[in-house]
Amino acid sequence: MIAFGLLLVVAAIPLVAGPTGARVAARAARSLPPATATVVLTGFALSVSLVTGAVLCLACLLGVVEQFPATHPADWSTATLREQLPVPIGVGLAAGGLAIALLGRAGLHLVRVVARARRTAAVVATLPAVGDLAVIDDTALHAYSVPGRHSRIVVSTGLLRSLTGPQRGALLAHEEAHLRHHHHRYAQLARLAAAANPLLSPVARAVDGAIERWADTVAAREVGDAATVARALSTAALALPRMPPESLGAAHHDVIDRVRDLLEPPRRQARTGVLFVLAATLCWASATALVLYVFRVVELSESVVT
Amino acid sequence: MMAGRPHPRPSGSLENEIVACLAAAGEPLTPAQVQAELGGDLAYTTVLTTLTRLYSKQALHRAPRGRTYAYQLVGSKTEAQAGLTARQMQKLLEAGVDRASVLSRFVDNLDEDSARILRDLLAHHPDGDQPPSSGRIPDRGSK
Repeated sequence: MIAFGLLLVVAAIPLVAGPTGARVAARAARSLPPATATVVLTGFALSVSLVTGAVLCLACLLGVVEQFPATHPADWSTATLREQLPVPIGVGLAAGGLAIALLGRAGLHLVRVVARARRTAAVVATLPAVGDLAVIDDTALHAYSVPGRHSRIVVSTGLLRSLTGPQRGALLAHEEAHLRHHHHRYAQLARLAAAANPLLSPVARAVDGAIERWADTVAAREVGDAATVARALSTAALALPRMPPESLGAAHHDVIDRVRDLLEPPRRQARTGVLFVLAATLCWASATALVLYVFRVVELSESVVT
Repeated sequence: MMAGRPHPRPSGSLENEIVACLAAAGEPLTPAQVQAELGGDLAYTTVLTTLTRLYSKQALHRAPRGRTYAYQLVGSKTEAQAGLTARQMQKLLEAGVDRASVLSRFVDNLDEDSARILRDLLAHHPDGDQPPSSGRIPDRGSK
């Protein structure tokens, strides 16, 4: 029974790591160098959501071992399993239901993302472009990069006209950095992890922020002056129509933080990164320990049968 | 992070900058005007070479002006087609295309308070477009 109690503690690791990480993700993303933050947080989100799913499936499998013997290999001894790993049926069913719901959510998310990406790629492919740059004749201000086989940077003449020459260079370098460093992959993976585990949404948002800072940093290095990038960001943000104050405002604080980080680079701390890597490693260790333990019990039950 | 050489710009980015410059101007520019617009320490011959390359790719029109040529983007006068695509794209974005398919906008809208904070922030720093007096990029490596 002590072993089972210990097992519960091990199983709780990913369930605790997710919400805890989510609470400090935004701060961690700012204190780490942006490329490191992106990679570490994405890895953390993926680890937590995968291991959480695995723990739920395992709990379900063990909880319903008596009621649905058909779902288990024939040589598993129900009696030994019940005795060694007494997961209540209610917990098993709840875990199973949750696992199905989360998997369904992730699946739906994936289908939606792929459909949207395809639609966007089709529209973007028709834009007249020189190289990978498509200029849209539009007074509205926009700039974005669309990854894919025909990756494109799309900017409006409205935005280009509001910037000086060096600022335009900063804008292009920022968008080029997104494409060159495959930033969409991190964004996609973090979003997927958050779809499979909604508690991780703050981590996905932190990854988004880190990606923008990463591109800002690359642009600052290429343009040779961080203040130019900060000016380009500010000019564009100030030229956009004002948002009504009651609307949700995570995004615009982000612009201010990005400008501040460019003008007054914060002290970088590696410590938070180490903690996130440690937490992700613990999650995997927890999953490995659980699976190994369950298999040992199954082996034991097999030897009892024979 | 990678070592910080002063200008590790990948090839193709100068072409993009020149296209963006001509698009912003909206009128034919001579190589000297493009060079002045771009700022920085680009050599005239580099600008001229890039313009010629873009012209040979049929991305630019050119017309004689004085002893040189003035260059203009092909199709900078938008055809109805491009305008339509632009609107479609805008609609996709407004429908909330997530960053999985579009790495979103350069920046987002501000509210009045944030705009004021941002202006204050800028007022405390020298103009980044002036020749850098204090503000070379700080080394932001992971040391």
